[in-house]
Amino acid sequence: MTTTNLENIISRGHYLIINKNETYLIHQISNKAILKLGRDVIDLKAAIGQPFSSTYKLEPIPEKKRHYTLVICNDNQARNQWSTNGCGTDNKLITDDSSSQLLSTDEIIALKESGESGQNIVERLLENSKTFQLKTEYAQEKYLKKKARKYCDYLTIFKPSIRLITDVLYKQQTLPKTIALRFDTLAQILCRVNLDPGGKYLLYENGSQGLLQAALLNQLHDNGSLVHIFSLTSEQNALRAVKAMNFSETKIKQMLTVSLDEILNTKNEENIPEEKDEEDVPNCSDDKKRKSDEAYTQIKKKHRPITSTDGLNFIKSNKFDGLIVVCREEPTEFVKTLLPYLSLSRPFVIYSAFREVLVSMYAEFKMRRDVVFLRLTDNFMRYHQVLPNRTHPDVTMDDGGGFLFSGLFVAGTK
Amino acid sequence: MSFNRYKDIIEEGDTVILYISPQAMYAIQAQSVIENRKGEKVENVMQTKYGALKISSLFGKPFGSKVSLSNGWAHVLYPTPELWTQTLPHRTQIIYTPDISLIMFMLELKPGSIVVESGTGSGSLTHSMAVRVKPTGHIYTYDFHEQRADQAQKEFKAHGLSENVTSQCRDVCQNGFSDDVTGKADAVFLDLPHPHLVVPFAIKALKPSGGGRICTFSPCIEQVMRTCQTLQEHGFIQIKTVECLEKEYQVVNRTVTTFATASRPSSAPVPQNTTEEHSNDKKFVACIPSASPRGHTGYLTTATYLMETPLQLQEAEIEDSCEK
Repeated sequence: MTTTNLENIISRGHYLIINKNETYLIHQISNKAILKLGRDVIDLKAAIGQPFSSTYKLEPIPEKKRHYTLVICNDNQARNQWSTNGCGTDNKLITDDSSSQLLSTDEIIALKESGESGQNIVERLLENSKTFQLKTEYAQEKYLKKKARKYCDYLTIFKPSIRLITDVLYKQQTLPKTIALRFDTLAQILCRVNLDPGGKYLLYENGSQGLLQAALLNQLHDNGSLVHIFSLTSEQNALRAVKAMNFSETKIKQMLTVSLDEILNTKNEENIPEEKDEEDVPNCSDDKKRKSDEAYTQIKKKHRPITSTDGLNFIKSNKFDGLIVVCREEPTEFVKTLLPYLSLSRPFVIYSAFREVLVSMYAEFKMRRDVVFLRLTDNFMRYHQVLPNRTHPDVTMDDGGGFLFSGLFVAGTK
Repeated sequence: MSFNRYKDIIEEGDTVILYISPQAMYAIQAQSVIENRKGEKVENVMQTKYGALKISSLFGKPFGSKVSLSNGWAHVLYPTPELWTQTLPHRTQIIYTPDISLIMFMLELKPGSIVVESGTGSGSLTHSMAVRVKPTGHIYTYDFHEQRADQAQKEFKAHGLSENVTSQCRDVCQNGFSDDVTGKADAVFLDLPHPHLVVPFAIKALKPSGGGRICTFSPCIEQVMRTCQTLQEHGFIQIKTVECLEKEYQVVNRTVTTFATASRPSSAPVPQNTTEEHSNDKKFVACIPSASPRGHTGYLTTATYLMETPLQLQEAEIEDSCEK
C-alpha cells in the first residue's frame, strides 16, 4: 500500500487546499509555485512531488523580508508549542491598562521582518508580557491560541474535497451575489435526491460557484451522468468548485450542459397547452442578457467540450433519476417544466435562501396529484467547543443554512 | 433485490414502500404467498387503514404507480435508503436521515470508498452508505450482537447489497477490526458506547497515506469529551463536534378573523348581511413548524487522520507513558 497513485501527489497546475492554522484557502499551484498569504510570500516548490496531507514548516529566506520556503515536517510533536511557567487562579489582579505587553508594535513588526520564527516571536511576547503568568491556565491557553493564529510556522496542504471546498466557499460568501450553501444543506441535498452513483441527474444551478456540479460529479461513478442547466446570468466564477476538484477530462465529460433558454424554448415549441400562459419566466429578459455578456462568453468557452444540443437531446431522450434546483430565482414554473423528465418514484429537491419562495411552491404542489412526500425543512446546526471542563455549544450560531423543499414524482391520475 | 440499482417495474422479491401519507409508509416484501401462523401457505394480503392490498397485484406495475385499496388508494415507491430508514424494522435505536447525510458528507464518501462501521444496529446507515460507495466501494460493518449481525447480513443479501457490504459479529472494543481491513479504510464510523476505546483500532484500519476520516455519533456529551481527547492524543486534526437537527414545516391554508371595527367609521350602520362578516376573515398560507420536533439525536464528532508519526517517536511515546 504505497502512495504511488499520481492523484495523491502534488504537481504543477493542481488545485490545493492550503491550511494555515484556522484559515483554509483554495489555491492553484502555478509554474512559479508562489503563494501570497496576507503580507507573506511563500514559495511552494518544496511541496511539488510530495503526497497530499503533508505538513510543512515555513523557513524564512534570509535576504528577503517576509519570504518563506517550505520544509516538510510531518512530526506532530514538533509543532508550535509554548511552555508556560505557572498560572494564576483568577483574573482579579489583571487590569486592562494596555501596558501589559512591554514590546511595542514596531518592535514586534521588526521581529517578524527579521525572519524570526513564529515560535521565537511568541516566546518573546510571553517573556515581555506582565500579565501572562497571572492568567488562569484556561486564559493562557486562549491567549496562545490567538497568538498561534498569527505566528503559526506551519501549513498543511490537503487534497481538495467537497467538504473542504464547501467550507472555504461558505466562508467567502458574497451575498446576494452567490448562494452560500452550508455543508449540512449540501449533505442533505445529496441524500434527499438519493444520489446513486450510476444514476442520471438533472441539475439547475445558478450562484453556488459550481459547488453542486462538483459535488454531484464527485458522487457519480463512470456510468452515471449529469445534465447541468445553466443560466446566462451566471456568476463570474461559475465553475470554481469544479475546477478546484482536479477532475479528469473523462470525469468532466460526464456532465452535459444546456442553457436554460434552450429548455424554456423547447417548451414553447412543444406548446404544452396547460402551461402556455406561463412562459413569463425570469432570466430571458434582454437587459439581463446584456448585463451578463461577459459571463456568458466565459461560460460558453468553459462548456465547449460538449455542445449544448447534445445535452438537450439527452434530456429529451432520457428519463432522469433526480432533479436538483439550487438557484437565486423563483423556480416554480421551471420545476414544473422539468418534472415530467423524471422517471416515476424519483425525488426532486429545491433549495432556496428564502422560505417564502418554497412555501408558495409547496402550496401549489400540494394540489398536484403527481407528487407525494412533500417536505419543507431547514436545519438547526451548531458547533460545540469540547475542552476539558469547558464544553459548551459555540457562542455564535449559524442560522443561514437556507431551506429545502423536496418530494417524489409519481404517477398522477389522468 | 431492489436496493442496488434503480428499476422501473416491481417484481416478486422486491422491497416496495407503500406510501399512504408521510405518517403512514410501510416497507413490504413483494411476495405473493406467505406462511400464516399455522404454517400454511396463503395469499399475501396486506391490511392498511384504507383497506386490503393483494401483494401479487403489484407485480408488473411500475414503481411510483397508484394502487387501489378497498377504501382508498396509495402509491408504491422505489425503496430509497431514505424511505427505508423511515420504514425499516427497528432492532435498535437508529440513525435518521439528517444525521446520515452529515455522516456521509463528513466522511467524504464516494464511489470506491472503503468504510468501516461499528455497530451495525438496524442497518439504517449501512444501507445509505452502501448505495453511496457502490459499485467499487465496500462497507465493513461490525456488531457485537450475534443475532443482529446475522439478521443484518441476511437483509443486505435480500436487498442485493452483499457485493458492497460485509457484516460481521465482533466486539471491536475488545478485539479491534478484522485483519482484512487493516490499512485499507478511507473512513471509519463509530456508533457505540465507548468510541474512544476503538480509536487506536480505527487508526490501524485507516490507510497509512493519511487524510482518512473518522466520525463518531454519541448521544451524550461525556462520550464526546472522551472521544475528542483521545482523538487529539492520537494525532487527529480538524476535530469538530457538531449537532444538527432538521426542522420540518407544514404548509396549510388558514383563516384568521381580523379586527374590522377599527377601519369602519363609527357613524356607519352596522352591516347586517352575512357577506360583510366574511370580509372580516383573512385567508393565508401558513407555514407551521412541527409541534414536537426531535430536540436531540446525537453529537457528531469528526476528524482527519494525518500521516503516521515516525516509528521512533511512537516508541519514545510508549516508553514515556510506561515511565509514568
